[in-house]
Amino acid sequence: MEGNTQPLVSMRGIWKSFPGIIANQDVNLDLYAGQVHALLGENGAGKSTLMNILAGLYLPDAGEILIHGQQTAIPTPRRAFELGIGMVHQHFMLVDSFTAVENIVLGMNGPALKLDLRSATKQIQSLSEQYNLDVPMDIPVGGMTVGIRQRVEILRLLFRQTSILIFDEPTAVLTPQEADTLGRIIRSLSAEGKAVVYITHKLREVLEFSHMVTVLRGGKIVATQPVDQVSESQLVEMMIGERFISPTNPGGSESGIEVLRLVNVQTMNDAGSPALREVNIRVQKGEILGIAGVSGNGQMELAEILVGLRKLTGGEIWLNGKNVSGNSARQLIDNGVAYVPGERMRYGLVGPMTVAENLVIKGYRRKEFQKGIFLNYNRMAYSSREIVREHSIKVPDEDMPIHLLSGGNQQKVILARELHEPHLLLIVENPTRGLDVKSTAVIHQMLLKEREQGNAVLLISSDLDELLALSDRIAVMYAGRIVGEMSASGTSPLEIGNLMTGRGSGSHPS
Amino acid sequence: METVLVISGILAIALRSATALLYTILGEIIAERSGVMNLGLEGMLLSSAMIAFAAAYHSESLGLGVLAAVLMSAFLAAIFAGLTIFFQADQVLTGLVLFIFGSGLSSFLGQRLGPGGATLVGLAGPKFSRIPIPILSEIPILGDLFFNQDIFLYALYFIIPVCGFILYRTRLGLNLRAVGENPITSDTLGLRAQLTRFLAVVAGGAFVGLGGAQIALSYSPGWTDGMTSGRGWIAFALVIFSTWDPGRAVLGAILFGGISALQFRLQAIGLAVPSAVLRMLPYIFTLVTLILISSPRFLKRAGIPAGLGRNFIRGGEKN
Amino acid sequence: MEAAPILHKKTMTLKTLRFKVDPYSADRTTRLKISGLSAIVAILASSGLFLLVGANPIQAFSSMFTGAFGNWEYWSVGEFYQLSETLVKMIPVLLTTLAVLTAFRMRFWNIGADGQFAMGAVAATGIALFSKSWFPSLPDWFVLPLMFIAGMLAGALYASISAFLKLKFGVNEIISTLMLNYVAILLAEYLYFGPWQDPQGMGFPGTAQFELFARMPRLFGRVHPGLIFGLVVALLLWIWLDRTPQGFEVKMTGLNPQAARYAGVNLVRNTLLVMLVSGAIAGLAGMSEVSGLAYRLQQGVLAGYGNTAIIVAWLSRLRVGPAVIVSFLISALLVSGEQVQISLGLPAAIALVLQGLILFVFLIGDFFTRFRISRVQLTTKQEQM
Repeated sequence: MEGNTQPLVSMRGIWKSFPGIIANQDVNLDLYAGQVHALLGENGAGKSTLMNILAGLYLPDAGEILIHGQQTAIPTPRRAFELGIGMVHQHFMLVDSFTAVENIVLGMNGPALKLDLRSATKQIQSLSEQYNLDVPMDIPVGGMTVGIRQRVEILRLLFRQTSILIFDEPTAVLTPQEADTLGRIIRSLSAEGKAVVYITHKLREVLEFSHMVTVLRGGKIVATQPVDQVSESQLVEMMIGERFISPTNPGGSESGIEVLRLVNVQTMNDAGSPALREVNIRVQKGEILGIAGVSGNGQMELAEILVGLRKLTGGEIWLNGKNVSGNSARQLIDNGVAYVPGERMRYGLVGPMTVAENLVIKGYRRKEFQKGIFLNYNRMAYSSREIVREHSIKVPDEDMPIHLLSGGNQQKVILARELHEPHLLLIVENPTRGLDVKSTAVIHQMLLKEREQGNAVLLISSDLDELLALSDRIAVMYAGRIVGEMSASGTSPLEIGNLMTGRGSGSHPS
Repeated sequence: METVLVISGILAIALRSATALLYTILGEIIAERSGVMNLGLEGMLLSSAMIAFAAAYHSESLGLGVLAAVLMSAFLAAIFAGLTIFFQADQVLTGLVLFIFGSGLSSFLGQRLGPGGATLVGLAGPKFSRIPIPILSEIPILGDLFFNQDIFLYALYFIIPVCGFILYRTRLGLNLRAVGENPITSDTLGLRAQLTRFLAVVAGGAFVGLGGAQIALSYSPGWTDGMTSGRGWIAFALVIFSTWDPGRAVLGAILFGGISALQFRLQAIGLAVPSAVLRMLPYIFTLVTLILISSPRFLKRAGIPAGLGRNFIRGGEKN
Repeated sequence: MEAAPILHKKTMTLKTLRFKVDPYSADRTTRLKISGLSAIVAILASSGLFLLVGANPIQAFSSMFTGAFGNWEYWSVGEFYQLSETLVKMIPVLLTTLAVLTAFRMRFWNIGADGQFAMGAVAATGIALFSKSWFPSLPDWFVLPLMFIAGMLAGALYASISAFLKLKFGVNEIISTLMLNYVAILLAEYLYFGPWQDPQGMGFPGTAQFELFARMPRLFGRVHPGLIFGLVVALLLWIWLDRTPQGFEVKMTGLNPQAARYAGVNLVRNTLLVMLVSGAIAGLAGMSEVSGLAYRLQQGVLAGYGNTAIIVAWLSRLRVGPAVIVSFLISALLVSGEQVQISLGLPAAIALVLQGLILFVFLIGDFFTRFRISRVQLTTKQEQM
């Protein structure tokens, strides 16, 4: 790689915050032509936010961006394109019923009453051949596999003569072969003098594809190094940082009674690719099993099959000695599965309903809430007040719709609800995401109490601190597999970090 | 030979009857392609027909009548578009309100815009007559069918291919379709979804106005309450039946446009199909079409614009 | 890394003024305030309309009031004709509103209340005209209950078609119910113009008049037991939807179907159930009209209450109590048109124009309960070094 004197892009002192969280704190980044620059970090480290700023989707709170040394504002994606910046997002910006060509030229300036698709098609076709992208020109994008759709997005960037290409976790949706192809493509792009940014949490990709790596943690830059000057373990250490294993976790007692067992479970995701590949998990009574991993490695699908919202394509699920593999959501609830979803407003709560109503969305059919054929609202209110008091949930007004409550209190409601349903297994997904410190502590307490009472808890979280603080054992998910399992006490965060980034002992990351 | 004549006679009537229908279908295709569903078509059609006749009668100018119809319909469309696109009102609800308003307006004004505030009923105003095109209209059978019609139909001979061309072969059409399929992505890519939708709905409204003008000034000159015979609703159904394609819209309009007029002719040949049953056909065919295109196999190609009926608002200010 | 040569220092400040539109949810007081404001604006707009057509707004409003409710002159002599006419109109409006409301609670957009109404009317008519000839030994008193059941059953089954199409094929229910509307209305037309036409009617488009045993008795004025049906259904619906566990399930599913799934709710069963009930109520409305008011199936019976129903349901925010009240008010508005025609010489259609105008105002007002507009000033300071 030749040393270029001036960076193509310079981001200086970028600050960006959203309600409740500072996503980027005083971030500096320089991108050079002909260089592949990896952005490495966990969930929430701020990588996507930073690049979304560069790609024109967000405006920074403070800081500046220099392109070719010139200060510029990038208020819209269109402007970004004009400046030669383009991004391949995790969720593609494609119109399903349009062909690749139509999608690529969409949004470009040009005469309204003309559309020379033929010459565009020729150009795009030759670009496709040039980079070995193999993209069909004439079929609707909706009918293509995810890998090819991604290449349409890449073609779009090439056609628009982007000189700065950003890839956001591109291999999350690809097969191993497709990932290799992508690597090839990226190498040829940088060989041509383009600047490439590669957001990832996978070490192998950092090492194989990039020249420089910047590690982000908690919104701040930890370090920026040439890839050949830094070791893998150093990278993991930078990414994970110092972890404090909470001493207040006394550890559960090994009861030996198995509550949940997954046997070689397989399932597909919505796009039709395998999401879980032969997953084996066991959770015992009175135990918290933490599932570590960067989100997008199958955790969502894991939760969905456990609550009956996704079908298994292989393997079995055993709950308390009973085979519940094909059960519906209702059956699983009746069999004792409680669930706190990752996206609370979407899946866990009914926004316009009150706290009392939300507390009974699973239990409203129980005898205790019925008075003859009627719903016993008094009982509901009474029960709700008890729960609110017990868990110190702040409810300014009983009749208020729950979406007006703070995130922490909403989460407490969901957790309280699930805990008060008779259950054997509690599955929680990212329970403290977006919550303040106090609420987080309360939620953690509730989970520990759960374990005390002898229930089994499956804690799926992309927050390593949380996992270390609460779990008895930790299983690490990577690319739809469990790549490692260990007892939480005595394990080093680095070990987990290694597994999370695909660097397993002997495990091939694909 | 007789059958041929009878068929061509039927077709001729069908064509004339289908004209207004086709304008309305075209207008709604443009709106729906951008993702907006307008249930108020019938109201717009009624009002524009009424004002076309009133304006033409008083000014004794056909041009003014047509202009009034276009403006009236575009104006109503703008109200609808403003409410749904900028005020985020529900499209179904607003469409129905527009229908009530439009039909009320046409009925009300129809009884008041005559000379001295009297009713427009029974008045005779200027009207478009059929214009035979020299030479072409003398072709046996086909000549009378295609080249002995009113100017509105002649205009359609150009308008329809042009609409098809714009829709499929121009940047304008591409952008329109993109907004209808995926307003969020389109807007992010810089296409201004809300503005596009607004313009599409108003432009569509203009077309509907032309349909109204044709009814009031050519097809059944004069004014009576409810003179559109439900064409607005039929058109709404046929937009779906034609899978949002201007070319296929022609088929639908001709097939069903002359349904009522068809009935007498059919009786003459000895097929006594009750008029009500014939008039059910557009709706039944549309329902079948809907079932077919809802199957995943079809959805990707000739499907419903994916964003149809759902409001879009740019997600607040980009922070 | 070297920067470009320094030439001069410059500070640029870019200010952009934009409007920010944020989705939010107004609290109860604000919603009431906005409703009140909308009502006032609506009155002003209506007055404006009257002025525009050369009428005195005060006169117009008072004659509308008289037309819908009567006035002291009439009431003092026990004459409640206008009020009873409003109630007569209210019967189909209330019932179809309740039908629509039920479906909307589950976010199933049943635009087909008219079709279900028509099928109910057709079924009831069929029983009225032919049950005795099919089953000669059928006792007279049995006919009306049979019509009652047939009407509801026909409406329910007809509605379930759309539910089935949506569940099985994913067909958009707005369009399917709309199409089925016309099929049903035209079917009715076929029948009363054709095989069921009154043989002694001299070409009059309608069936024969029902025999006495197929007619519901009048209560007062032209008000018939349909009103009781309406109020009873309202009560039952309120109990079911707002007071029972099943109703809670429906409400939850309508407000957040995803969360409902996660809570174990069977969406298929709920959709079908709700649509059956919705169709049954609309069918009941149809049956009431023919057996209580018109005593025959004819043009004009199927007067398109579906649209009004949707509007009333929306205005009452899908709540049963307000739905009853708003049905009454809308019926009053519709009936008043006649009076306005008589006393002011304005065509009765003005009631429709008013209805549209008022609703436009409320639609705009509703926007302000769902979105907040604020001004945003963007300042980006950029230093060039």
